[in-house]
Amino acid sequence: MIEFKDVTKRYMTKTALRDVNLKLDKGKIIGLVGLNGAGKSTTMKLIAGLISPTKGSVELDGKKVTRRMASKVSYLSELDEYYSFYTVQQTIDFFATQFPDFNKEKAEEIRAYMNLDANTKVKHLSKGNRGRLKIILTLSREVPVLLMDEPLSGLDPLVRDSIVKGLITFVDTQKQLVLLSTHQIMEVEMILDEVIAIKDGVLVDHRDVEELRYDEQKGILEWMSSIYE
Amino acid sequence: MKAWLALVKKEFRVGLPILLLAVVLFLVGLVIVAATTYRFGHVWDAVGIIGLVWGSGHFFFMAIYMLYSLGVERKKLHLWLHNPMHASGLLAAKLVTGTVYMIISLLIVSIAAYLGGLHFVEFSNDTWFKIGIIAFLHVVSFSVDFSVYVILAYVVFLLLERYMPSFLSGTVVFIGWWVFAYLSYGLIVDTKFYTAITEWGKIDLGFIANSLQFDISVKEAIVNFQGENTFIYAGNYVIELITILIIFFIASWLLDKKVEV
Repeated sequence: MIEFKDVTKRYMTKTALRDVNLKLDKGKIIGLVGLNGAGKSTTMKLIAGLISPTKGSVELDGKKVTRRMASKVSYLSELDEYYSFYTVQQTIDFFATQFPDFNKEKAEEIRAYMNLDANTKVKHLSKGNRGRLKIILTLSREVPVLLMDEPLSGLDPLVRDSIVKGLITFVDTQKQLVLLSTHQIMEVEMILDEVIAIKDGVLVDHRDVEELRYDEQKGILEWMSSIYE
Repeated sequence: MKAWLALVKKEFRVGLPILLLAVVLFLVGLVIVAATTYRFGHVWDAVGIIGLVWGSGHFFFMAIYMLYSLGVERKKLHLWLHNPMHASGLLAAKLVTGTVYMIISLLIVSIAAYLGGLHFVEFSNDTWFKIGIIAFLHVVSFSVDFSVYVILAYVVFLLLERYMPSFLSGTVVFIGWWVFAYLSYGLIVDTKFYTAITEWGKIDLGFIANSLQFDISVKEAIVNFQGENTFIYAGNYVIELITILIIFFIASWLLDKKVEV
């Protein structure tokens, strides 16, 4: 479904990703882990078509990824900048007009589940509620690929819990591929099918979480420790 | 089309502060000028002059509007560019809303210019109408035309920002702008070739006021229009239209393919 072929991404003198080869299939929730600056966000943006590889290619269903691949990819940025003059409901309505695959009923369902007031202006939302809004907007799209860059970052445990539960409840695990980057490994470990580790722009390992657990008797944190220490 | 119209609706909301600012500044200026000229009995003359000056200032309305609107998106490029729509659609939505806002603002200013102008220039209604329409159309078209160059400059700024600090990127674009203007004038506009491709389709506009003459003393202020028989070339407009279409599509292509988030 998604394929990285010898992908290198450089920003001036800094190499964010180096010679990455990667294949991701649909129907899985995949964790992307690594230290700050390892290249997780760069990987996400490459799949979303928001940046282009310096070398190599990124393909989605056999086609080179471009910015307009947004029709097949729902991208949740690590930033939570939205149009502050809109209310939550107006933001949802605006997204529904921009993406034909946006499911408004599902958005309403997730909004109610997340307990987010539809009439609150975005500029008045707390960080936690902006995080919830991001989740609503991302999960309400019925697209093959969902990219979530640090969806749990900076949020309190209750919000993180509702987001993780939301992922389990509202993602169609048969049809959708979810790639999420996070530092909160413990909280997402139970929902991950695969995990990818990136270190200094290099993809160091890509494992099936169940295999890791049963074959090597390791949780993701232990596995990460063996890689990063 | 439905998605684009919804985008236009959003752009109206994004750009609203510029319309409000233009109208409020005009009204504040109007009140100040009217208050200071009231005791001299020249309120209407002052209103007319403020209207004409502020109306002429609308040449830059669209450029300021685009800088503001694109500046808003710059903070949320991940949101603005994560859209299956072609970049030309994203930019066109801004151009359309900016143009509508400029026309609204210009209409308000034009009323003041007309009401004030009636007091110090004696033109027939037909002449007023002709001058008004020609001036209105030229201010609108020049402003839109200029803003397309600003869009290209801003997209280049976004592009360069990936490789250098914002201030340096802005400086490079600013210097590049003047180099481009100098070269385009010297190498293209000021040539026989350019004259040949633009100076066709002569249209005689008749007598058109094209400047103001001020005669101000302690006791009185006299303002007169000056003008002459004027003509324009359709070729100039056609070539400029083709030029800005090319510039617009270059900017769209760069935004689509080269600008990174």
